[in-house]
Amino acid sequence: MKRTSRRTEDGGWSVDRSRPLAFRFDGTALTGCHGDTIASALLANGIRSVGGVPIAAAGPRAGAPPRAAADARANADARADAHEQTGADARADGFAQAGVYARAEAYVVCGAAILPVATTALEEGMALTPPPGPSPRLASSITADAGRTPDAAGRSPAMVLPSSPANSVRRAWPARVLGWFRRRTSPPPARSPSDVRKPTSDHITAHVDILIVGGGAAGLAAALTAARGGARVLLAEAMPSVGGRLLTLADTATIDGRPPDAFLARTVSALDQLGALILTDTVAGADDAGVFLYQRSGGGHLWRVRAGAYVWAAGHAADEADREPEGVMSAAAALTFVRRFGVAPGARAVVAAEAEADGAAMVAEILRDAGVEVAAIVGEGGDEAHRGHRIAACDGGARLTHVRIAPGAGGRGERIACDLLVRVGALRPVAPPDTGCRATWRPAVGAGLAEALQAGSDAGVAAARAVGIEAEPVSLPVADGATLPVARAGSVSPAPIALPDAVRDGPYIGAMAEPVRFVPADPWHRERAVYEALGEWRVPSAYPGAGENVERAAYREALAAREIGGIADMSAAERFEIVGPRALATIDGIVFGGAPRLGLDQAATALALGADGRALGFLRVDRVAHDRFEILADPRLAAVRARFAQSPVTVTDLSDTYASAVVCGPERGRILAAVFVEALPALPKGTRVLVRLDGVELWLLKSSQFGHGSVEIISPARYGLALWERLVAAGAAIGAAPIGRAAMRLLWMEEGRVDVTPALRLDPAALGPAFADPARPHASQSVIGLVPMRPVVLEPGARLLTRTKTPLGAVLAGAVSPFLKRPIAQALVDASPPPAFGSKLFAEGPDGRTVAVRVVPARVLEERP
Amino acid sequence: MRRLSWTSALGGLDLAAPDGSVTLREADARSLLRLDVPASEAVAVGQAIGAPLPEPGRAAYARAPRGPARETEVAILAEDGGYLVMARFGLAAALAAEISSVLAATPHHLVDRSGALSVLVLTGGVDHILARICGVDRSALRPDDVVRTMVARTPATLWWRQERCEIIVGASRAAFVASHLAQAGRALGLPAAALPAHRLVP
Repeated sequence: MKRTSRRTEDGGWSVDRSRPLAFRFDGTALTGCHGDTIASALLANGIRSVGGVPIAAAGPRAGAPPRAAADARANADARADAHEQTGADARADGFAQAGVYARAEAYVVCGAAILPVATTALEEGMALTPPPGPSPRLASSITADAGRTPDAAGRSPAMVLPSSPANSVRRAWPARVLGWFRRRTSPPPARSPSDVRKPTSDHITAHVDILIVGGGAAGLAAALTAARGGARVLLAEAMPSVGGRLLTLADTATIDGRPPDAFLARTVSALDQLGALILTDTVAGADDAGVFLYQRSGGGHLWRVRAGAYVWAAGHAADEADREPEGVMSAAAALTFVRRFGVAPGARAVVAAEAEADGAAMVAEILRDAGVEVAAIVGEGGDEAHRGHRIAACDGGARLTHVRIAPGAGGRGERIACDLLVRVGALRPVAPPDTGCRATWRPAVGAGLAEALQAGSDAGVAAARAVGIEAEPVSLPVADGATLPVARAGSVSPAPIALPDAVRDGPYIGAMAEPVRFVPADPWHRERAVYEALGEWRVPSAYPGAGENVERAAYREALAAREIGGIADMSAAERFEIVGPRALATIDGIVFGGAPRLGLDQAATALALGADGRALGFLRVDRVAHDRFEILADPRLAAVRARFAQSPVTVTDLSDTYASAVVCGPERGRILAAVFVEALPALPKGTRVLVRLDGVELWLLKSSQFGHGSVEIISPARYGLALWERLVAAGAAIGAAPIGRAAMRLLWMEEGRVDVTPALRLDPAALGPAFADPARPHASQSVIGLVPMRPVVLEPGARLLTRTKTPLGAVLAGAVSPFLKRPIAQALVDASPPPAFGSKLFAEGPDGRTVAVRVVPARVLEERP
Repeated sequence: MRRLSWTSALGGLDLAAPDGSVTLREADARSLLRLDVPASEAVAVGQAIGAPLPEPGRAAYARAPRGPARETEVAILAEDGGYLVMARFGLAAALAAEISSVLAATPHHLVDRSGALSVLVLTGGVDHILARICGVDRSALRPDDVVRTMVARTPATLWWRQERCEIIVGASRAAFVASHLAQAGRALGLPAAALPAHRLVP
């Protein structure tokens, strides 16, 4: 056998032989045709496997059995590793790592992308290399009985290899139809091969009346029916083009009185005119958010589809078999290579028929027409010499050279030389995926072509009716429409869709992954600050000078705030207003503190409680009118606002309305005097005072944020940047510093305020019996200050023990106090009575070592010597 | 007297595809008032503002014949259970005073949101771009429809106008939304609007 595979003398409806395409594979210059896939081009050049995976399938398959899937995934991992070694775009690895192509499909590396050969169109100048992963382990002989590996459930995989429902033959389409079709269903052409499949990965939301999955006979009939009735239709097809079983028809077949090519062209054109959208190379799945389509072309697109009705017309497939050697393929794949691409998949073939004789005879005839010698038709539908026989083994290891035939009753065993084994097996309907949501699939499937067209029309009528549209069924009579045999019972599961990370994340990657918010003075901060996250906000953590890290900068800033002055941007906050006759009563029911006693323009800090009585956190309540209150909370306390929103008051978001800055420290008056040239009025504690600065109305409020006498300045947000710049400039003149969140935490700790970091995790069982026993009331919990007796900083979460090693609580935060110049900490304890000031406890670190600590007031500043 | 200068959230973002077919820009500063008022006062409030209050989910747009915004364009968007009044920058205080005067005896809630909200104006490729970052069914909307929805996972109000869409978001979120809008429009030639670089604590 001199020839393994080659282009047939004629035929191949999708290729244009007059337009050759030059490409390279593994360094060798090769030629394909316009319209080829990579698979068909390689096969036409005699290359029948890539990276050890045979080019056998021409499209998506049904779910793989465990071993094959695991092997394929291992290969994909290896390929991904190798891909990484080439320095290629890491996001492209996601395709392999996620297992999207980790079925028994072959794929190649092209620049930064990993491309499935079966569904990727060949382009001029492509430089392809096989994935450098290990070749799959192939048995030297796969036998029908003993040689097959049982799956995890102990079942032997079927010998009949899978076929894709859409891998079939058809006559040539007119070039104008193909051109139109590609423009209609494909992304814009890439400018160069290196651009192919760059992961653009956008998420698209589509609202349609009817989603139809499957672009075969049933799907097209359903789409035509519904679209003619006026429904907005989206049709998704897994293969690069629609047609499905229509592509397997004999040349003499007619549908609706037209040859298959004319019927398809007319149908696609009609759907276009009716406004239907057709997506090819697109598979359907479902998750908690609903039905999605994963369009593999163009780097991957995730379509979220909101439809009024869903039609499942994915056709048929065979159960996925285990790894096959090179030269073994399904009848559907073989026919696709011959009829669609004009490529003979082998030189000498054995057709193994496990089903009706008509199907095997049809396959054999098409192979013969393509110049392939058919040595035998074996099986129930076999030729006279081999009827009732079966394939016992494939010899040749990774590359098929012979098949061994076990005799039927009274026959003789035989060994036939061949390089192609085509298996004709019964196809089964592909079952729809479990949506797990409200979407319900309406099946459209038929065993024969006429039945499929009828089922599609019926489904189209029913789906249209479900969205309030009365559609007329379409009548599409069929003549001479024999197709590959279909099983009458059972179904196969669709291949699982594991979305690559790049596709799942879509545009939400890197800095744009999660919504972020910036304060009005952000342009000033970002020139100088290192940031940290505070809920959705990005806020300055510190303003490091030359050679400073965040810790040193925070220490310097906190010290400046204590000894001279500090300016803190407090604009990042959950700020909202509640209004209504029941506003006061609502506040009284939610916060625990002095809020209800507030007079006009007075403010108070109070503890917000959840509906179950649990503390949500502290917030500030400003009474701005009789029945109107402004609430200010930590931006991480979104639950507070939700709690108010459930009450009979009007809640309005103010979080972007105001900017807020706090001036603190002993020299705060000089800073304010430099900014507010006119004398400021007296600021009673807890009372807002309206002032004007250059004609702009601002509110001043005496605050205890960072020590007694701090002053908060509240301005309209659009003046936030200008006001901040003035405050900082005034502060810089006397040595005051802007302070970031890290310095704020130090100051708060000195003041006895706890700012628990989100990363803090406390194990109740390790903290003591009071924490471990949910039935015991936590009336004796309190926050205390600690001073370690050795110069060590206590870690948050460290257990607090008594002398007798009894757990008493846990450290919430620890740091070196800039003002006290020694380590301090705060701890949560559950003890009645609480530990006495001056008493000695022990903090236990994660390594089990303990540090003696002295109990002091939570406001550790009071411990200043 | 030296004035306290003010800034917009995006510093006047103005992006356009090379052929001008798609643009994304930050609208000029506007007076923005959020008003919650009983429906029974709609006529009175409309007369005070100079433009009628629209039905829920709609926008009304008029040149005010009277009131503080006289002879200028005023738009009122009925969104999220209330109204967003848009007028020329600088009119917020006068409009608020006029509305409060009319509603003196009626419970209402009026907040000046000027500067707190950013208005992004998208022209050309609206369907293409919004389909990529927003779940709204564009085909169900008519001109001057107003929708409260999520854009790039961020709460926003969309005001559909002829050939364009105005996207109203909180000023602190505007940079994030604008970046995603520009990203979604890249295939149409819209330049990138990268988020400002921030050094994050490791």
